[in-house]
Amino acid sequence: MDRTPKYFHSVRLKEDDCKGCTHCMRRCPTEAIRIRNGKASIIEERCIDCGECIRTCPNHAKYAVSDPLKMLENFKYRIAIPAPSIAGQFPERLEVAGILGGLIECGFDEVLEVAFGAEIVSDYIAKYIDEHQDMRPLISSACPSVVRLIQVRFPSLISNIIPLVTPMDITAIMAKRSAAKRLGIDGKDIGVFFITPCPAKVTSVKDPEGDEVSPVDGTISIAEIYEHLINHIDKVKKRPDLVRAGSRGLLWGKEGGENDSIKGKVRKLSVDGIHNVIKVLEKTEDDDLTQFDYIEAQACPGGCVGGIFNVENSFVAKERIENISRMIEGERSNAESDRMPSEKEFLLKEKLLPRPITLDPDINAALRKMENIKEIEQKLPGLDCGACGCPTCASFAEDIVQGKAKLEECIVIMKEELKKLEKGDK
Amino acid sequence: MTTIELSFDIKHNDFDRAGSASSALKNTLKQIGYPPDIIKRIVVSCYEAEMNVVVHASDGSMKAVITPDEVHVTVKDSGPGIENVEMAMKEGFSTAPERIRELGFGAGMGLPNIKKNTDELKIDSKIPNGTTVDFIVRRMNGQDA
Repeated sequence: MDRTPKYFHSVRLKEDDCKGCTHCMRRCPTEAIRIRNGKASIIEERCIDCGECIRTCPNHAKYAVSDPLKMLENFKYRIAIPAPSIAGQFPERLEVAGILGGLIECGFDEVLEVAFGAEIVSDYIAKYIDEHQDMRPLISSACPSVVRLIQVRFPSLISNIIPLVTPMDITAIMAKRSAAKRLGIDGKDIGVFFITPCPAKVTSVKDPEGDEVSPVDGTISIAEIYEHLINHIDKVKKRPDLVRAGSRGLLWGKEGGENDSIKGKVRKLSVDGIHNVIKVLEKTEDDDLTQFDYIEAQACPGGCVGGIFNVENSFVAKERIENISRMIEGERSNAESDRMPSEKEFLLKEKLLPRPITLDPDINAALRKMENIKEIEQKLPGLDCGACGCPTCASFAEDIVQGKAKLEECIVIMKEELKKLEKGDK
Repeated sequence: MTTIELSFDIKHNDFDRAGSASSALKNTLKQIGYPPDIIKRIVVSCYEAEMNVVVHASDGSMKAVITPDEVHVTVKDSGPGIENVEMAMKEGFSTAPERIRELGFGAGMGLPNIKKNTDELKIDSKIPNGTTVDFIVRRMNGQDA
C-alpha cells in the first residue's frame, strides 16, 4: 500500500481535524483536492504547495512541515539565512540587528540575510533581461509555488521563466563558501538553514526544480524562530555588525519589492495572490502581455509577508518593512569579492520541465476520454456545488471518466431520481 | 479517429467575456495533452481572431475541431467585413477605434500574428456580410515529425 511519493510536499492534512467540508477544495488553484470518504485528500501530482488550503481551512486541518531547530545538531557550523520578510515579524524596537542577534541566540554561528543576496540577484536579473530581448515577458523564478503552477497549469510558459537561481540559493552559496574558506572546514560540516515564511520553499529545498540538490541544507519556519524569541526580545543582544542588506533587498519581502530593486529601463508588472497570478498567466499565454519585460509573480497575497509561516498580520508586516526601509540605506556595500558568486552560479543548472496533468499519455485515448467528459458534463447540473467531493462539475466528469468517481455521487442527479421514484409510487 | 468539436458564441463589444472561447479551447487542449508549444500557437491565433470579432465585427462564433493530428479553427462574424485583407495582413495596421485602443486592444498585428502561428490560414471577407477566419495548426510540426 505504501508507495514512494513522486514529489515531496510540505503542505499536509491532519486527517483527524478534517471535517470533509469543501473550503480547501474550492480554493485550490490546481484542483488538487478531492473529498473522499468524508476527508480531504491531496493529489500530489497537482499540488504546488502554495498553502491556499492552509489559509482557508476553518478547522486548521491543513498544515505545513519544515525542519525542527534540532536539525542544527547535525552540523558543526550553522548558518542562518533569514528571508527578507522576517523584518516585518517583530516589534520595531527589536530592529533587524536584534532579529539577527536573536538568530545567533537560537543556536546559529553565523547569519547572512537573504535580502543581501536579493540585492546581488536583482542586478543579475537586470542584466539577463537586457541581454535576452527575444523572450517577453520574462517571469520571475523567485516564488517556488508560481514556478510549480506554471509547470502544472501553464507548461507553455516554462520558457518565459527567467532561468536564474533565487536570492535564497545565492545567499546559501555565498555563505557556505565564505565560511568554509575562512574556517578551513569542509562544506559538509556547514549547515545552511533558510529561515522561511513559505512552505513552498521547504519543498524547493527538499525537491528542487532546476538543480539536482539545493545549496540549502534545512528550512526552519519563521514561526518557530518567533516562538523562541518573542518572550524575551528586550534581552536579545543586537548585532548591527551582522546587518548586510539595505532597503533594496529588504523590500523583496513584500510585493513589488523585487521589481523595484531591478534597475534599468524595463517595464515590470507585479502580481500577488495565486488566483491573480493565474489571471496574469492566462493573459501571458494569449501573448497579450508582451509589452512587459518582466513579471514579478507571487503566490501569497502581499508577497512573502503573506507566507503561511509568518506570524504577524501581513498588512502590518508589510508596513513595518516599508517603515524600516525608510530608515536604512538603500543598499549596503557589495564589496565582498570573496563571496561574490560567479556568473555561472546565477543560472539554473537544469532545464525546468513541464508537469502537465493530461487525461492520458496516448492522444487518441485522451481524445476519447475528453469526448466522454463532454457527454457526462451535459448530464450534470453545472452548479459546482462540490457535494460530490470534486471542485467543479467538469472535474467530477473527469474523475468519472478516470474511474475515480461515480455519476451517482452527484446529489442533484440523485435528488431528481428520488423525485421520479416518489412520483412513481403515487 | 476521435474528433472533438467545440463551439462558442462571441459577442461584439463584450469585453467582460472576451477571450473566454480561446481560454476554454486552451484548457481542453491542455487536458488532451497537446504539446505546450503547439497549444501556444493555437491559442495566440484563436485569441487574436476572437478579439477581432469582439473589437471590430458584430456577433460571431468560434468552432474548433480537435483531432489527434490537428486543430481546425473557424471564427465567423456577420459583418461589416474587412475592406482590404491584404492591408490588414500588414504588421502594425489597425483600424481599432480610439476608445478600444485605450483599453489596450487594437494595436494591429492581429492577422499577421495568426499567419505566423498557423500552418494553414484562409481569410474570407465580404462587405457587409462579414469575415471568416479559418486556420489549422498541426500537432506534429517540424521538430517532432
